Amino acid sequence: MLLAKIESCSVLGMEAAAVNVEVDISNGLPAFSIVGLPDTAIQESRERVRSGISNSEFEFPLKRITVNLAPADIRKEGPSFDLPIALGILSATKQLLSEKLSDYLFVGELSLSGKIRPVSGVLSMALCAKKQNKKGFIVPEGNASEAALVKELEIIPVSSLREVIDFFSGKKEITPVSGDIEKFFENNLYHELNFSDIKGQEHAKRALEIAAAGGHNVLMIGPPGSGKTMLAKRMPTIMPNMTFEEAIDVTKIYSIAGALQSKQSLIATRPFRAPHHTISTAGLVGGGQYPRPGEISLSHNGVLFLDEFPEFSKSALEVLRQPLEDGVVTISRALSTFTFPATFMLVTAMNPCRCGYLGDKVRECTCLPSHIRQYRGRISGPLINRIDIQIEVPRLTKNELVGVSIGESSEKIGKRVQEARERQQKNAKGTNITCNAQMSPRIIKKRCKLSDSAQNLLENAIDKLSLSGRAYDKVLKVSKTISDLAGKELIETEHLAEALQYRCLDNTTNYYCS
Amino acid sequence: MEKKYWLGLKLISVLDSKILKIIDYFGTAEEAWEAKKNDFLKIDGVSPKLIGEIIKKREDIDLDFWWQKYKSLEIDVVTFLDNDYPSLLKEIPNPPPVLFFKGDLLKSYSEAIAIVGSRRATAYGRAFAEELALNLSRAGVTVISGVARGIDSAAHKGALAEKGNTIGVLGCGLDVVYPPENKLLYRAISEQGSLVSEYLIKTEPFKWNFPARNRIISGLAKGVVIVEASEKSGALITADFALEQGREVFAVPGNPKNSLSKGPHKLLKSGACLIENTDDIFEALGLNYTSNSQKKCLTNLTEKELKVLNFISWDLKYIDEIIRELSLSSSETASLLTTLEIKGFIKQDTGKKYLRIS
Repeated sequence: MLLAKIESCSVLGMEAAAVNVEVDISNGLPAFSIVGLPDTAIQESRERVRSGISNSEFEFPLKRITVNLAPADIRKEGPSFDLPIALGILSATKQLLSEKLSDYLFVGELSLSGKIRPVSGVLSMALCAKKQNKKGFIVPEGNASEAALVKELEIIPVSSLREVIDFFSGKKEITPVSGDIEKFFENNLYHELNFSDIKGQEHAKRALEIAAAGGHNVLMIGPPGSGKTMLAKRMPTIMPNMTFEEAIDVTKIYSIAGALQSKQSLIATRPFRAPHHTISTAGLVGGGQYPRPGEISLSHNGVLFLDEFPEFSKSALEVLRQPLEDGVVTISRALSTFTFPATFMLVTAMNPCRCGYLGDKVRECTCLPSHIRQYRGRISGPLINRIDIQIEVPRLTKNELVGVSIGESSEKIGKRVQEARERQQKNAKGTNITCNAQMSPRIIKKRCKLSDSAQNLLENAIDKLSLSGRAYDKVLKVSKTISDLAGKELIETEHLAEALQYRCLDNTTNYYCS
Repeated sequence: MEKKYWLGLKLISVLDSKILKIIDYFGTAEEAWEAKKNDFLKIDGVSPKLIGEIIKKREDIDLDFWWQKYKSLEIDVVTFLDNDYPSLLKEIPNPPPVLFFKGDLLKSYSEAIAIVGSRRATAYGRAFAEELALNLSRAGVTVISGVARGIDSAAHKGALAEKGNTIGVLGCGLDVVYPPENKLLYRAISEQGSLVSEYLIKTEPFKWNFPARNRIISGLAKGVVIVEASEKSGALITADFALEQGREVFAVPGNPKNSLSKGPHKLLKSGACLIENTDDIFEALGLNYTSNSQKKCLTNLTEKELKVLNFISWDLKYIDEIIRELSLSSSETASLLTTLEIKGFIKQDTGKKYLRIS
């Protein structure tokens, strides 16, 4: 009896689970079958393994080969089992004899020539290898730098099947990949974009600073060409730097989604995702038969920018509500449930009306009031409720652009944001709240203390500015962030007064021309 | 009970323009309702085909049901022959034979001015219409308008803020709210002033109803003020009716570059009376009022607030313009603007623009 066991793993949601690849070779009609809930990519690996082995100048046994992927009750997918299956066959036919095999975990896709190609989800797999107390992890060369994020694990980069065999038979030495990841992380904390690129728009910039400081979601309303996208793209540059743990989380998601660029080991800056408005619900929140993270998970710890907000399909927008509240998204399938992290800041942009020029100084709007209502109506109340800061971004004329001075740099703004965040975290000690935007109505009541004159102003505002009930909490949250930015404990009049400026959609009288 | 039969004749939709003629012939609406086929034949301009339709329709109408329905909706009916039919309206060519209304003001008002204008008015136009209506209302003059978006709504709101003497004339049935966002305005007008329509309940706001409604707006008033209107605006139709009915036409000038000034400017060129404030209206109509429009006291403003207010002046200013020109920080500007808005000195318009209003 010829039997071999090679250890590998498979990604399930965010984590990888250990999978034993058992290969049995017996006499009988030549056949090659794989069992253990494999998907099509694994079924096809038979062909790749067969060619890979023969093209690496090994012998592919003309016998009855059975491969079992254990445990047999979880679904497995992807081409990452090519390498372990090939090694199992070689080991079972005694073409590879090594005691060391069981010290390692193996993943890799084979090409027909026997070369090893990169696979997705390697970071999670490396973490799994460590959890299994393995000495090392054999990874495709292209994935090595991302696997190297896991410390105290030997990461052996390999580029061909032949190389793996040589490594185990002692013919070739491969130095494990390692690097000072922390140093790499610090060196990569720079952004190419900067807030000082944007001329004018002081009001919008200030609003974004507040949003970054309090983690508030933002809606920008403005005519085409007013700089909404430019502003949004610079949002990550003023947000506090990610911690190393946050960066690992983000990298893990990208690794699973196969969205890491080759040789990129760690995503050090906050992600910025801007999906097109034709995106499907599954594309946005994640999905598929073997669920993959969607855009909201890819923007975990970063910014999800939805341009042309009302053009997104209604169903896609409404599914955002639960992740916005919980910070995670749960996708259920018949056999299992997957949870992906999705703590992101939502930045959205829309035109003021269908033609885009309502309220513009130069071009006139051609929409009827009913069109404007209809356009606005595409964004539901519950969704608007979750957007604390709503601002208008008017278009600057050429003349106005000429005289405008260059604004503050991202670094300067970022420093203030960082300080405000630290203040919030100090205040929120003992709770799981990390920023003001996450405060529940009960906590708002407890923590948003107004000075007497501010209280007075708030009562006046409810009356004079027709402040609705749902806008009330939002205004309090935002004014708390403003007072944090100012380094004050109490919410003063000027903080509240400023916060009242960031709520243009709650203020319906402005829009419906009534 | 006579009114019930007027309603009956009105319900025979084919009859509409001939109601007055028919009642003139029969003497009362009741007799016209009960009349035989042969009686109709003697009236001029009523063809046998029309008579056939009248008789057929009349049989289908459950008059008592409808009469009760109007009563339960608290809708009153006033007919052309009633004493409390608005006397000014009686003078116009083609007056509505029957008016449906809610609220008592229609029967008791004396002086009235109509304020009309574009549905897509600017903040400046809305603020001016509101102020004008407020001052007129203070002086006891009833403000008439069409409960549409924009200038109309602003005029009603202005009048409601003071004494509430305002009449809204609809282009649809009294139970149909159009535009839908004016639901609260509907209620306020019918409680404090009057809501009027010549259309049966459940009549939808068809676009051809509105020119006809405009003749009632100008017909109920002594003069018509056009605040903002584009060249093809319905407000100009109202102005045409006003001229035809011998009413005074007033126009409020605007920024010559703005297309919404085209309407009033066209009227001014052809001799309309230019309006800068409410006194101009009183003077032109020979009414002996002076509006003691209270200037808001500027002393309770801080120095910075005053600076911002003076900069905004009477022109729309972007928030960024204010930040730039006054070299204020954007947070400070935002907070100053809020306090000014709450104190009632400025108003916000789409696109983060501000306008001084007092």
